Amino acid sequence: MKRFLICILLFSGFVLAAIAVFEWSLRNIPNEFRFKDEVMQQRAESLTTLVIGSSVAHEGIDPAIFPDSATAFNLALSGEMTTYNCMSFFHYAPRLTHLRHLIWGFSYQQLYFDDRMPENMMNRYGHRIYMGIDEQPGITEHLECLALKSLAFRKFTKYYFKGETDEPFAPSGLDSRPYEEGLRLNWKEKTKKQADDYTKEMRLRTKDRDMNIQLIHEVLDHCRKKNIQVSIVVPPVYPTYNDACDTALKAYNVNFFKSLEKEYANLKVFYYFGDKRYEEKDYYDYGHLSSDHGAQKFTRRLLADIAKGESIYIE
Amino acid sequence: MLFNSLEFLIFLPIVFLLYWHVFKPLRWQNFFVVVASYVFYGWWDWRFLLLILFTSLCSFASGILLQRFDESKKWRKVISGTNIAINIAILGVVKYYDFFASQLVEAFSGLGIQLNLTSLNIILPVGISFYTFQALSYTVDIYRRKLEPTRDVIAFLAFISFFPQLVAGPIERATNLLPQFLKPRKFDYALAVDGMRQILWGLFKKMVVADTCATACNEIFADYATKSGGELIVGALFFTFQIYGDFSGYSDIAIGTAKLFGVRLMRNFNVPYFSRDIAEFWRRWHISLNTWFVDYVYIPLGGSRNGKWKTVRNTLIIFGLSGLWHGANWTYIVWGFYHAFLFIPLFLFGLNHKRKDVVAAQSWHPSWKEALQMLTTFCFVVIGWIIFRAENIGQAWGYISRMFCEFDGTFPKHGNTPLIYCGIVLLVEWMQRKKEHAFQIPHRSLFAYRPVRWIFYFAVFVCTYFFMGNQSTFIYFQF
Repeated sequence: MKRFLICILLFSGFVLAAIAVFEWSLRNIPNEFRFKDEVMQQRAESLTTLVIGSSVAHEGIDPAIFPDSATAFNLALSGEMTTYNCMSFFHYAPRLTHLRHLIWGFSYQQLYFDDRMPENMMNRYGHRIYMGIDEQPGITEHLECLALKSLAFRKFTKYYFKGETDEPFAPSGLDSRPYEEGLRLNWKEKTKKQADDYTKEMRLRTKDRDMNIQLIHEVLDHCRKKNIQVSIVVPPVYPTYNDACDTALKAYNVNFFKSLEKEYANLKVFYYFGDKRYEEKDYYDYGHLSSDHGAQKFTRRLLADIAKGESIYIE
Repeated sequence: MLFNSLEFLIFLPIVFLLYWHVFKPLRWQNFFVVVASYVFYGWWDWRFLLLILFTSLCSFASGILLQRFDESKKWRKVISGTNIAINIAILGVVKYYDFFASQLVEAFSGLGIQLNLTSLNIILPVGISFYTFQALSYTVDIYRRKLEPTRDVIAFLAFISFFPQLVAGPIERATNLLPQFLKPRKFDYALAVDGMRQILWGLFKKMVVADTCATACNEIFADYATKSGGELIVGALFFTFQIYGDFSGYSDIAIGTAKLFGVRLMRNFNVPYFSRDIAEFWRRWHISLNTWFVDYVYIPLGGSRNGKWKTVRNTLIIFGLSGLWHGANWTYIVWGFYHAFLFIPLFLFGLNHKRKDVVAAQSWHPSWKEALQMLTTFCFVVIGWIIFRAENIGQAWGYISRMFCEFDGTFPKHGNTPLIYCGIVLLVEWMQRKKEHAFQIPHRSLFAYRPVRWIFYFAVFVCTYFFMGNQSTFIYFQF
C-alpha cells in the first residue's frame, strides 16, 4: 500500500509539474487579449476615443489616423460579438474617465451571437484569463491548458513549433491583415456559403439578439449619462457578400440602428455595408478591409463623415 | 457524479484512503462502502436513494424469508415471486408506464376510442435497470439453492450499491460479488496497479473516442435527410464506436476502480467488434446483461431443451426483452428482434456455439476468412446500431435507406478525425485481444522499466485530456 501511494503521489506530482510548465509556456505566447488588457491598464484614464466591436472594427478602423491618435485605442477583437463588446466596455468603463467618443463597429451577424456559447472557447478563455472579463469560479476556468484542452495544445504547437503568433500588434490596436495575406485564403469561393451560414444561424438566434439589444441599451444609457458621443459604424464589405446576405436581416439591422438613433441624441450611425467605393486591394476578405489599404482609406472617410455630424446609410 | 469529472477525481482518493486506512475491520469497511456508494448515487438526486434502499431491503428480506420457509415449496414460490413482482413492477412503472400508456392511447384512438391515461412524467432513476436485475439475481439464486442467503444486511447493501458498478454495470451476480463482501479484503499492489491501467484505458475510450464520435454522430443523425450516403455511413460508424467507447470505457473504469478496493467484477466486454458471427458478438457484448437473460429468462423458459421452435420462441423473447431493457422505445425492441433474426439461422444450422476461441489465436493477423467473417458481422452490427440510435422507426428506416440509395462511392473529406481514434482503439484491442483489458501489458523488454511505463501512462493521460471531445454523460446511464 505504501509503495502504491508513493507511486501515485510521485506520478501526480509529475503530472502537476507538467501542467504548471505547460500553463507557463502558454501564458508566454503573445496574444491580443493580454496586449489589449495591458494597454488599457496603462492608458485607460487618458483615452478620449475608444473603438470597440468585432473583427470588422478590429481590422477596419485605425486609430493611428485619428486627430487624437495619442489618446485613441482600438479595443476591438476578432470574433468578439456584442455580448463581449458590452462586457468589455463595462469592465474598463470605471477607468475611462476622459472618454469622449465611443466608436462601435458592427458586422452583419454581430447582434445575433452570445459570445459565451460553448463553441467560442478561445474567445471565452482569452477574455476570462487575460482580461478578467466574464470570470467564472473553478480552477479549470483559470488555467488555459485545462480550459482549452486540444485548443491549448494547438496554440502551443503553433507557436513553439511553427513560430506562428497573433503578433505583430499595432500600438493603435489595429489588427495586421495585409491585402497580400488575404489573397492566399481563396475567400471569394466561400463568400456565398459564409453569408448563407451566418444567415441560417441568425434566424435561430433571436433570443441572443434580444439579449444583446438589451446590453446595447445599457451601454448607450451609460454613454448618455457620461456625455460620451457614440458612433455606430458598419464598415463596407465585398459587394458579392453584401448581395448574398439576407435582405430582411440587413433591413432589420438598419431599422434597429435607426431606432437607436431616434432614442439617443448622443448617437450617430455610419452604415457603409453596401458602400462600393473600394477596390480589390482594400479588402482582406469578403467581410473585412485590409489593414494596409482598406482600413486607412475607410478610417479617413469615416472621420470626415463623423466630422459632418450626420448619420449615413449606404445600403 | 460522472467518472470523468472533477468531483469523482476528488471523491475516489478520499474513499480509497479511508477504506484501506481508517475502516479496516470488515463490517466497518462494508458500512463505509455503503455510505460512499450512497453519496456517489445521491449526487445525482438524493431521492433516488429511497428507491435503491427499498429494492435492496426487499431482496434482502426475501432471502431471509426463503431460508425460513426452506421446506415449503409453495411459500418459497410466493416469496420469490412477490419480490420479483415488486421489483419488476417498480421498474415497469418508472421506466415503461408512459411509453405503454401512450402506445395504448394511440392504438385505441386508431379504433376511434379515446382513452384518458395520465402520463406520470417520472424522472428515471439512474442505474435502476442495473441494480434491479442485480437484486433479482440474488433472490432467484437463493430460490434455486445456488446461494445461501446472507444475514449481513450491510454486506448485502454494499453488494447492491457498490458504487463502481452501481449506475451502468457490470450487472454482478450475488455468487460472484456478495462473497467478496463477506470476507476480509487485503490490498493487492499488482491488482491496484492493473486497476489503474484499466481506468486509464477506459477514460481514453470514453473521453477521446466516445465523446468525439458523439459530437460528429449527433450532427449527422440530426440532419440525416440532407446527408449523402457516404456521410451516413461515417455517421453510423461514429455511433458504433461511440457506444462501444462509452459503454466498454465505463465498464473498464468500473472494473478498474473496483480493483483498487480489492474487489473483482466480472468482465463485461471481450473485444466484440472482432466477432466472427452474431452469436459470438452476443457472447462478447454486454456480457453481464446477456448472461443474466440467459440464466434468468431463457433457461427457465426451457432454453434449447424443448425442440427447435420453442428455442426460437425463447430466443425471440430474450432478444426482445433485451431490447426493451434498454429503453421505452420501439427502436430498442426492433433492434432486439433484428439481432434475434440474425441469430436464429445460426441456431437452426447448429452454428451458434462454434466460435468460442480468440480470433487468430496463433497469429498476429486474421486469415482472409476470419477477416471476411469479422467484416460481415461488423456490418450487420453497424446497421443494428442505426436502429438503436434513431429516435423512431421512421428515422431508422429513412437513415438506412438513404445510406444505401444515396451512396455514390465517396466519403466526406472533413470531420473524420474521430475515425483515427477509432482506428487506434481497434489496433490496440486487436493486439491485446487475448488479455483481460488492453492495458494489461506484461513487464517485458522496454516496459520492464518504470520510467518507460510512466512515460507511457503520462502520454496516454495527456492524449486523453487534450484530445477528448465535449463531455457527455455515459449513454448507458439512461437505461
